[in-house]
Amino acid sequence: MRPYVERELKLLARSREALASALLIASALGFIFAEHYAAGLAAVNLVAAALYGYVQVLREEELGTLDGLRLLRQPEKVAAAKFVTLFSAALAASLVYSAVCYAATLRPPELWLVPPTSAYFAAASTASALLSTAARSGVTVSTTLTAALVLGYSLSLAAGRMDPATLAMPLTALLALLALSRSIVQ
Amino acid sequence: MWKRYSSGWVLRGVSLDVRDVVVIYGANGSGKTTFVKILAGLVPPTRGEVRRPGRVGVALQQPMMHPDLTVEENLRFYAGALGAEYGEVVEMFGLKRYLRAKFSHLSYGWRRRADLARALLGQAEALLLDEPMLGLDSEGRRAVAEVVRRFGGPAVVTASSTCDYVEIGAAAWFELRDGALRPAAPTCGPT
Repeated sequence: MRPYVERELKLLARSREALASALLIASALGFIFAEHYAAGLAAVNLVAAALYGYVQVLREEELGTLDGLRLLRQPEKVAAAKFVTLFSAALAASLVYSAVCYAATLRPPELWLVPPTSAYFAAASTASALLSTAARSGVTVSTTLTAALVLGYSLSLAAGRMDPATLAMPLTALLALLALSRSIVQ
Repeated sequence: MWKRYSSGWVLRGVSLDVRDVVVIYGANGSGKTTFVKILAGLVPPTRGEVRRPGRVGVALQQPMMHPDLTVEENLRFYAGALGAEYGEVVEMFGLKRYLRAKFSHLSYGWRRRADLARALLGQAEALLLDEPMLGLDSEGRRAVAEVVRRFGGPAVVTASSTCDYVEIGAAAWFELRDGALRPAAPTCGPT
């Protein structure tokens, strides 16, 4: 598993423009949503996860490098490593957003919402991007799928209804991604 | 094996039992790359099946190394994923001085060489090489021929011209034309 995660993290580090864009958007959303922390958190994660879903998965398909990963016949490791990277990117964007919200309102943000939200959006975005490559479609299908998958969670998050079922969604999505990976990475 | 795209049939009942080095040549667009991708398991056939041995080393015309990583980072990743060492292939293809270069900064010929090195990592039981000599200089072509000769196992090598491939010492030659494979003799010149 280690080589897969190392590779993805190196690629994330090399995507400076995408990383800078995600962090700048997160900062801007921090000012816009300062009074509505949870709703803004959903927006930040949607942007970051979709952006990196493109960089880490769809661009790899365009370059032909995803074929090299397919030939290794370890789809679960590919999907898990891509999830870890997208989660890291979404987490970084969420923390920047939270810092800006705090600076703007001087109210401590509900940081406990960050890990499950970033995890859920990262799992949904990874699954959407991989499904999109399996279906030989592009970025539009991937982002539409991501938006559809995160809608229910986002509504619960924005309404402050983080019940046990909603909090279980990240783990459920990750397990579904790993279970499906053999079909969608091949 | 049959393969059909929206534009029509590319392969029409191709059948091949590969036990040694086989060269398949054909004009551009004759279906060679599709054939190799199906053998590699990257594209499903419309009809038919492929029986593969354990690990197959595959190099397509479009390299599979990531352009944003260095040659060494790419090789280290694949070697780590396969539980292999990459020192031997670096030596074989003379890649030592390019290890720290970003893959996208290499010339086309060196990118091909580096990607061929990747394909040979680990204990491959068969090789699938799609026009491996395309864009290589004479030294690179000699290295590829040497690698295929030394490999000794089943290998499918595609070619758009037969001249460069005579020295790999293939056991059989086929021409892919109109979606069908026909036994053919190597001729030095464009097909």
